[in-house]
Order: sequence, then C-alpha cells, then structure tokens
Amino acid sequence: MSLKGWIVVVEPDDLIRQLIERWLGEAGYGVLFAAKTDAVTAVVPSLVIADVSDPSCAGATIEDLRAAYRVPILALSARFRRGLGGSIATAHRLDVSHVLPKPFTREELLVAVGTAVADR
Amino acid sequence: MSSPARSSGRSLPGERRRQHAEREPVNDQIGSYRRRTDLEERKRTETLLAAEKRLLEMIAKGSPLKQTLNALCGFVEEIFRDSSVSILLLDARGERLRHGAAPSLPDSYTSQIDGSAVDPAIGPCAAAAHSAQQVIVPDFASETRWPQVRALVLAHGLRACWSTPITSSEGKVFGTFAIYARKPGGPTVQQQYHLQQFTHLASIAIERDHALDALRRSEERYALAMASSGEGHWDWIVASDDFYASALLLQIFGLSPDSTFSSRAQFLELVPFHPDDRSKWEAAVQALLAGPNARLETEMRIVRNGETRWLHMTGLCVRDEGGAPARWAGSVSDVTERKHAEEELRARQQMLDLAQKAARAVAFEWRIGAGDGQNRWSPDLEAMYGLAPGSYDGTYGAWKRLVHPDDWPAVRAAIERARQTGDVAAEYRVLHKDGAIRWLQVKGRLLFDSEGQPAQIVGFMLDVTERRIAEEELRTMEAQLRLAQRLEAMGTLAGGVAHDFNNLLGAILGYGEMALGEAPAGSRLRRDIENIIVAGERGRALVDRILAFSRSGVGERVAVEVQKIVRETLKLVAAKLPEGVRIEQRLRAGRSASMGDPTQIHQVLMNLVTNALHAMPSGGTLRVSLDRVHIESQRAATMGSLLAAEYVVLKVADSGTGIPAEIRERIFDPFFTTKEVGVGTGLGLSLVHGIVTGLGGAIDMASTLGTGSAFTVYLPRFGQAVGADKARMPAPSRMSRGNRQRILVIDDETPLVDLVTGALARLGYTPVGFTSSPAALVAFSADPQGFDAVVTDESMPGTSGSELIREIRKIRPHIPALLVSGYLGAAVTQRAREAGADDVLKKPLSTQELAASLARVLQVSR
Repeated sequence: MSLKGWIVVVEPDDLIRQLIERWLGEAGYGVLFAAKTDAVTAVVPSLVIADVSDPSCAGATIEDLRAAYRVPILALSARFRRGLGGSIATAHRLDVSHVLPKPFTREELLVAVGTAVADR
Repeated sequence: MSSPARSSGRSLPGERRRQHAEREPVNDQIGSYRRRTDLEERKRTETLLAAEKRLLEMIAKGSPLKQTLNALCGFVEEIFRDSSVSILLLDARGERLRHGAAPSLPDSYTSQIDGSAVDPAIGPCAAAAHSAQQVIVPDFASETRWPQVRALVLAHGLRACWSTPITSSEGKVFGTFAIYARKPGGPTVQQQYHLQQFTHLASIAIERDHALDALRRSEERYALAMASSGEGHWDWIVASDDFYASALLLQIFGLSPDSTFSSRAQFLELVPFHPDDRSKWEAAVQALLAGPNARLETEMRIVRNGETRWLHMTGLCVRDEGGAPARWAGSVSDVTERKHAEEELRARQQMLDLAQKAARAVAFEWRIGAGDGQNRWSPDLEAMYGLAPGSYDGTYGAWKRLVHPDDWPAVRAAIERARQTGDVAAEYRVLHKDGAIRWLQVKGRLLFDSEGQPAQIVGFMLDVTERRIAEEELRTMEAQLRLAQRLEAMGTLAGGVAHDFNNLLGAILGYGEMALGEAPAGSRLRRDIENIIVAGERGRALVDRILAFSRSGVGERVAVEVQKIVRETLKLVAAKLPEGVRIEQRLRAGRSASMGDPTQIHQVLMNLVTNALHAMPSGGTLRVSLDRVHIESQRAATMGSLLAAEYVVLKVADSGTGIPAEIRERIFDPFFTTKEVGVGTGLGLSLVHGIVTGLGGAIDMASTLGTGSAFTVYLPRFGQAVGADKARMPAPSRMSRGNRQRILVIDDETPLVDLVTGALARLGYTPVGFTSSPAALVAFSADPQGFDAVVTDESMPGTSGSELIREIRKIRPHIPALLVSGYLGAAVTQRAREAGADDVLKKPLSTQELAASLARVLQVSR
C-alpha cells in the first residue's frame, strides 16, 4: 500500500502524539513529528497538524508553520469548543484550513485530515 | 426819695412840660376837672386820642410788651396827676402776679410786689386778680386788710389804690391795672371811664403779645420739627409763584444756603436732577397738579457733588374752589442709605436664592411646639417634599407622614442627638404623592429658649438623591467588579485545567477506542472499556462547559434568530416538565438577531430553566418571555452593564423559593450549587454568565424569598436574522456566488481595494472600488439604485466606514452594508451596530467569509 502522503505533526503531548501516529499510519499516511520552531525538510508534506494550546495567541505559530511548509494546516486545541455549526469561523479566525477540538475520536481525525488534504 | 411822678423819665418832654404847667392839688381833682376850660378839655381829649393812637401803633407794630405797657403807664400818669401806675401780669400758670410795668415806682416797691400770690389776703391787686373785680382802696391809712402792702404803700408816700383787673375778650384775667394816688380818695365817673379805656388797651396789648408769642412758638415748633425730621421742605404758592425752600432742602439738593431764586422754575433750574429721572419726575408732578389727586409720593435720583443720591419726596397739592392748584408743598428726604441697604438686602436675598437653587438647598425654620399652621414652609421646601405650594398645614404629624417609614427611626435618633448637642443632621427619604422617592439631607442647629427648652430649628434642607443614587451605583459597580474579578480568576484557572484535561481525555478516549476495537464483542472487557469511554465522554462534556464560562474557549459567532432557538428549547422543556409546573411563554422578539452561537443561547435558556424548575420542587409557574427592548440610557445591571442600544431580552421567572440574600453574590461562581451533591455541577449560572458576557450582554437578577426569582438576559441586538436554511455558513466548496450585483467597495489602501474587488469579481459580482469615502459617497448619491450592497473598511482618514454607512443609509435606508475592520473590539462592534451595519468582518478578509456574509445580507434585503 502506497503512502497517501506525508503529514507533519506538531503535538507536545506524547500520548496524543502516539495516538495520532497510530491512527494516521493505519490510514495510510506517513507521519513526521516536528517541534514548532524546527521545520522538517526531508519531505514535502500534504498537511501540517499543529496543536494550538492557546488559540488567542496562536497567530505567530501558524505564520511560522505556513512559511515553513506552504501546505494546509489542521489546528488542534484542547480549548476549542464544540459548536453546532462546525468550526469554520474559528478556522477563519486562526487562518488555517480546519480546526479539530480535543479530545477527538479516530473518525473525527480522519474526516478532518481527509477534508483538509482534499482542499489543497 | 423823689416823688414817683418826678422820677418818671418815660413821659414825653412836651407832655411833662404840660404836666408841670397844669399841676393842681389832688384833693381838688374833681373841682379842677370841673374848672377846666373847653380848651383844656379839648386838649385833654386830643392828648388821650394821641396816646391811644400811639399805643395802638406800638401794639400793631409788635413793640415789646414791656415797652408798650410802660408807655401806657406814662400816659395814664399824665392824666391822673400825682399818681403812679403799676401793671402786674398773671404768670403762665395763673398763680402769681409778676411785675409788668410801673415806670414811676422804684424797685424797692416793685420788687416787693413782684411774685405775689393771687390771694385776696395779700393786697388789693391780688384781690382784684383773684376776684376779677375792681378793688378800690380810698385811703391806706385807714385800710386794715393788707397790713404789709399798707406799710409799703404808705412808706412810698402813696395813699389810695384803684386796682382794676385786666381781662381778655373772653373774660380771662391777664393781670391788674392799678393807680396809686398820693391823696386819698376814689375815682370819679370820668376817671372810671378812662380806667376802663386804658385797661382795655392793656388787655389788647397783652392779648396781642400772647398771640405773637403763640405764633412765635408755633413757628419755632415747626422749625424744630422740620429740622429734626431731617427732611427738606418746600412750599410753592402758585398764584404769586412764591417758592419757599427750607435750609435742609437746599442742603439735600447740595445747594448753597444762600442760593436765591424768585420762582419755582428758577429753583428747579438749580436742582441737580439725575438725567434719567428729571423728565420722569416732572411728568409725575405735572400729572398730579393736573389731576384730581392731592398727594404724590415718589422717589428720584439727583447727582449731588458727583454722587448719585436717592430722594424720597412727599407732596401735597392744595386746590382752589375751581380745583386748580393753589399751593404745592411737601418734604424731601435723602433715602440713599436706606436704598443701598435695601439694594444690598435684595442682592443678598437673590444670592441666597441662587445659591439655594444651585445647591438644591432650601433654608428653613421650624418652631417647636408651635400650634397647627404656625410653621410655614416656603414653596421651595414644599416642592422638596413633593407638596403643592401652600398645601403644607404646618403640623408635625403631616411632616412625619411624608418621611419614609423605614427612615423614621433614624430621624428620631437624629432628633434625640440634636436635643443633646444642638446639631441637627440627618438624611432620610421622603415619599412624594406621585410615588417618587427623594433623599433629603438636613443640616441645622437646634436653638434653645432661656429656660433651656428646645425652641427652634434653623438650617438647610438639601436634595441629595443624585448623590445617593451615585453612591448606590458605585457600590453595585464595586460589587460587580469584585465578582467579575473573582470569576475571571476562576475562569483562568478553569481554562487551564480544561486544557490539560482535554489532553488527558484525548488519550483516555483515544486509547479506549483502540482497546475497544481489540476487545471481543459481548465480553466483560468490552463493557468495561465502554464504561471508560462513557466516563471520558462525560468528562469531555464537563470540560466543554468549563470552557464556556471561562471564556477561554473559541466559539462561533453568527447572527442568531434568538426567538427560534428559544421556541425550540422550550419545546424540549415542555416535553419533560415536572408535574405541577405550568409554563407561560410570551415571545415577542420577532426575527431579531443577536451575534453568537445558537448552541450557547440554547445553553443559556436551558440552564436558567433548569434552575427555575429546581426552585419549584412542589410546582408553580415558569414564565419565559422574549422581547426587543431599546435601552434609553447606560446603566449597570446585576452582572455587566447595559449601553443605550437595542437588546434582545430573555426573561426566565419562577414562582419558587427565591434566593436567600446571603448567597446572591455567589450564585454566578463556578461550582457553586445549592443542589444536592451529584444533582448539579454548579456550573449552570457561571456558564450563563460566561456566555452572555462573551456576547457583550448583561444579566439582571431579582429574587424575593418565598415568591420567586427572575433572571433577565440582555443580548445585544444585531439586525434581523436570515432565513433558517441560511443560518449555517455554506461549505467552502459551495461558496455563495453573486449574480452580477453591483457592490460598492471602499478602502483607503489601493492594494486592499484591488484584492476585494478581484475576489468579488471572481465570485460573480460587479464590484466598484474607491479609495476615499467622500468619492464613494458622491458616486453613490449620483445613482443610489445602481448599487446592491456596500463593503467598506472602518478605519479610514476623514470619514470612517461607520460614518459612511450612516450617510449612505440616509440616501437609501435599507441597502445592505458590511463593515470590515482590522480589530473586532466591543467599540467597533458598537459603532457598527449604531451605524446600522448588517455584518462586521475581520481583516484579513477571507474570500469565504466575504462571500458568505454578502450572500446573507443580500438575501435578507431581497
């Protein structure tokens, strides 16, 4: 099975990191972990998944990631709230492709990643 | 001692010569009379007439009485040869006789007689004065009644005395006219006739003198009265144009005492009238003289030595039979000092009135123990108590009824304090008839009478309602601030906890999910893992609520039709309504929208309803209302504050137990709950607070123990909601497209105008870009129907975006307008709302957002 593509994951929590690696790997993605400040240059990823611990001051981080990878960004945060109308407004505000509130299920993660990659 | 006749120096020289020539013995008097020739007789008659004429002349000229009387004596002595004449005058009290005239009697005689009492026992003259009858003593040698006088008379070589009383025309005794003869004997008939004549002349002289004296005294009296009154007097006799001005009048007018004038007109020339008053005064006098009135009282100014003086004038006009003025007289006084005093008093009164008004203070006086109606209140004081002018009856009881009953104990305590210290100080509420309540402050002094009993209170009343309200508001705001700070601290803490918890839950749920996949269906392990996941899900829901009140979560903000959410929520509530609870709903907000997240509004109502139901364990009425309200002026609410703006107001009221005062401050605290452990999370009201505050709203809370509580939520109104199917944003792939609508685009930066117009063109619109709002406004005015919507930047030099929207709306009130701003603070949102913007978008503008918003507002406007 060929890789669907590479996904760079910026996630400080080790348990969540392992979870994402397992779920994305099973779904056919190659996963690379990166620190916020340190861009992975080995591959050109299809998506960057980044944890935003404080959405109110995430602008700089998002900026850096966009500059480093020039690909869609899926933002994760434990501070996102679940609303009825989805999180489009939040994504706009952060200027990312999609957002996903923590905690999330495997299904939720894969739908979000699939949509973000397809939007590219 | 020389003879009395010879000692007389008063007779005229010629007469004296004749006297000597005709000297005859006294005892031969009658005979010699008889022997007189006709010539002599005629001569005597002539002498008598001449004497009479001369005396009358003296009297008429007003010669001094003594002189006239001495002359009279001289004439008599000429006729009654060998005799001395003495005139005694009764003193003013009619008790004693005083020396009047006796030119031929020496001082040794007159001094003895002078001052004799009017007593018949003293002497013949005293007897005559006393009885008003003539007393004739033919010979003192044989006279026994008056030994003292007899000795005196005989010692002066005199023998007979004929004393005749001098009486006035009314019969009043003035004195006595006595002839002392050197020879004994009584008067002849002829002599009696002469005596009567001369006595009458004396009477005329005396009467005339008395009259002159009375006149002089009267004049003196008037002069004194005039001088002492300090008034100047004038008297104008019209016919002769004789004008009299008293010395004081001249002084008042600042004229020299020797000013001369021969007519009224000349005098008036001298009067230094004040230029503004002359004609006024002259007109008043002319009117009086011409009219029927007699008296004129007026005030006028003069300029005396360069100084303006106020004069008060009172005049009286006396008229002749035909009614024409005959005399015009009166007085003038200088009232400058009084005027100044009045002026000062008036100025002080005015100042006091103004100061009272400015300070909303009113001076008052209260007499203690005064009878009903004796304490009078000024209209200002009555107004303070909400009474109509003049309606206060002055009783203690009526005043007491005006004081708010809750404040009466404090007022009574203040009265008690005043009895001891004399200081009156209290603040209390008064109830006006119209239901208004005003706070009054009294500051004054209790005055005691000489016996140490309270007599009077004097002081000021001030209306301090505004200050009281401000203090009250300050207290409320302080409490709010404390609460807000506490909630914020808790929110920050909870937000941090939520963040960490969500990560933990992420791991629990994620690995739980994977383990579940490994566990065989129907196995015990699978059920256990499922329970772990259920617990994890519950944790996730809890953390979501914590994020809501902590406001650290990032939620949605769209225009929400509140009434629709409320109606749907109430349907859910009604389905699960506990027994005994009735629901009354009154939703009248129409399609009013509020910016927010539909879920959040649902949560707000659910939480309020849950609390309301919980407050009514044995049933009751749940009242839910929704209204569109315009708040007139900014005010603080229980939580947050309200601006003067439109709000969508949700009210949830129960008929339950009410909230005890001691916990009211804490009900919005997170994790504060009155419910049993395990029933509630204690997050309900803090969630409501977090959501409402996050949406820029406010909450009012009212509660009465045993009656129920009411929570009122104010959500800023943001136009009208769009159709229900459009409430959700379209997915990016189904981006709303335009249909060639013309869109006016304004931004002061050219690249941004290009960006927006480019994006709109790609979306199928026909954009028209401008880099200045005035130019855009000109273009719009030229063809208002040529545009379908406006998209403008807020921050521009000159006319801002919101101002531009306002101007455009004046031309075409319902044109859709979007405001774009780099910063979405409360101030911008407020401005946008006030200007009537349909939506506010944040920079950097995303095409998706622009497309969705534009599609929405165009849809609404259609």
